[in-house]
Amino acid sequence: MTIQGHAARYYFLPDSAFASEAIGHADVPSSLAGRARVLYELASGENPFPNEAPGTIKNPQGEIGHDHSGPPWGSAFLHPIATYSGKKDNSGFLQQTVGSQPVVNLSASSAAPSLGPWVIWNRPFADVPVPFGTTTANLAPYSRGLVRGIAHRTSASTVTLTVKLVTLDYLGRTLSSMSSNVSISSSTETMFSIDDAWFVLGPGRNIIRIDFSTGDAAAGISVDAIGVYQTVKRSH
Amino acid sequence: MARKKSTTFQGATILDTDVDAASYQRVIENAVGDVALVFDKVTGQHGETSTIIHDGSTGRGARLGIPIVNQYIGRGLNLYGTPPAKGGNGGAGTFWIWCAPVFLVPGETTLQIEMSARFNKPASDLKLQVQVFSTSFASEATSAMDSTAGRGEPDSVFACSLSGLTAGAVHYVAISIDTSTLKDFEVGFLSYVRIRPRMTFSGRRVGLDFPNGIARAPALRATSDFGIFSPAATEGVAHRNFDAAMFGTQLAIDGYTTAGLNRNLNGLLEYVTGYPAGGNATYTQIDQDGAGVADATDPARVRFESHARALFGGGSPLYASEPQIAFPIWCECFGAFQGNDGKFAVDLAEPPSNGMIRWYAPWPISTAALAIRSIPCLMPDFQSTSSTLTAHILIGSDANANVGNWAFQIQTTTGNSASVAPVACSVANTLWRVSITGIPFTGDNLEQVSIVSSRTGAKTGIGELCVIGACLYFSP
Repeated sequence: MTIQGHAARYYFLPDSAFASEAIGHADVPSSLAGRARVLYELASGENPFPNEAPGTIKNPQGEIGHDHSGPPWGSAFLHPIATYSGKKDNSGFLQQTVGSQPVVNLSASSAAPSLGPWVIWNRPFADVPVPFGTTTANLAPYSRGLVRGIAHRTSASTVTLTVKLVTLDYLGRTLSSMSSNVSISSSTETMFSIDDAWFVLGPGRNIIRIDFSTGDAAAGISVDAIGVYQTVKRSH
Repeated sequence: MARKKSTTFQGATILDTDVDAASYQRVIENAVGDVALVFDKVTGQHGETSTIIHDGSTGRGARLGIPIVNQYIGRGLNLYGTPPAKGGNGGAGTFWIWCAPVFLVPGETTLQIEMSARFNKPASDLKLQVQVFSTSFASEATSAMDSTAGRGEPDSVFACSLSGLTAGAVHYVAISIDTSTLKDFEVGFLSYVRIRPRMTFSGRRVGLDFPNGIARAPALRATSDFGIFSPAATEGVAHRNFDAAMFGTQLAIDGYTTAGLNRNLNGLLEYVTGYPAGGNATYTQIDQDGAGVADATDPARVRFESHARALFGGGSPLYASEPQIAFPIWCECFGAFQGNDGKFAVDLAEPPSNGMIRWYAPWPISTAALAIRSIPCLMPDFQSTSSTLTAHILIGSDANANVGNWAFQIQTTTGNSASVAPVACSVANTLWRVSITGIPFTGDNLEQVSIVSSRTGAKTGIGELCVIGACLYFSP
């Protein structure tokens, strides 16, 4: 007789199950063997018994095993998601497209420029809802797109750049909108980070837009590069 | 001691683990060996060669599906001048409106390419297509692009999928249009480009229907009832090894083994999943420095599987053979080039006035060290002692131009790479590549990455080179 089916149970055991002189219950080896299989599939991405259904569900990429897209699929990696690189206008040194570098040139008198709508592909991830009874917004890796950039001032003194991060639906309606002010003090290219505003992102296609503006009367701001970044490792 | 470890995963049958089944030694023995196998695969310990490198091959970890390109361009493609000479620099011809070196990680052989653009002529009139080349400029694949109605996209979306490509290699991907037959010079507008490996799922709510906590929302009751422990800083995953002699014939199952196996399982499950194990709401593996102080940002102290070769509490990596993985960081095109003919997208003038003057591959005028392009790059928690960060730059030139005296360097916030001269990748000497390895970086850090050019001696004229595109990636 060929035995079909292998254990793939996932439940934990209390400390009392392992106390001195504790009676051995059948659920002890069952739990140990079942979790071992779940662990193997999550770690290796392989169903060790291909003639049976896997003991775990597929990851957000549609495959078996952890894919580092965030818990429970492994700790996520930090990296850029979407980019728009550029270069400070190097007049006389670099031949580059007139009017295209840097990313955004902004003065107080100019109309507030926008970058987008821009459809980006965000990595599929487990979009687990926030815990019941909490007011915490979703902190899952890849659920927030943080913005970093490079900018410098062309005016005589420090200016304030206002960056508005908008997530849209496919009809162009606003799903989320957050603004942040960035102080641009250097006349040479300097990186900046925005942590108090972000894009609310979902798995797959996302439509985003960045609106730039300034309230400084004598502003001259050059945004030389900008991008959207994944900055969360684990949040569950 | 002969460490108990399974050569391949053994598991336990349903009959051995069913309700009221007897507790057999073989079930515990196999589970001990299976967990030891997993420990070795994720840490690289004990000479394990079938480690987790996420290339999708059997037992080597699921592929990651990291998107390769999400680039905003927002530039016009019209031709200017009166009239552009056909076949010359800036003249009508086949333009690579987007081209860059694209790194396909091991295990991936398919590229899904999407471009949002609008054209003033039918795409078929422009012979819109994607060409993929090897780094020796051998043609690997060609495909027309299908136009689809984009949801929420300002322009039409043109897409295609190319498969059968070599995994673990750089490919030159060029999206081209042919302007030769145009009677006027209005071409269109290029908004943005997306490239990712294969078709990956999106919008699925995964991980919510698996019982008993593997993917439950984290608001679970805090308890210590489930065999959870917090290992010391230097313990790593605190894996307990078992002597194979403990499982000799007719030897009893003991609590040391079952309790130890239970701890091994909980520790590894949390290590691999990054999720609290055993029903607790808080992690027991805590990122901390050598003195036991919590440190959630130092990549050298990360206590979850991150391919970081972390130090844990010691001065050198605890799991020195932990597998490292390939990972794309950045990929962009910097402007158009007529790659098939080896011509610039604009006339050779500074500034140019003929051709695709709103979107062309830039070139250095100065021979002194000059940053061509800069981008902020957030680096993952990979080890940086022996950096596997690599850059690949694609360069174009007018035929027979003198490119040999140029050199390129990658400068990061952490340090500078070596300077490398371009190498010809086409017989016509109109395409050149620069590959730079061992680029300094700092894990878990925002680095300003710049592509820097320089030249020894004066230029012999305009057209010696232009920088078409580049990519940055980890490749162990």
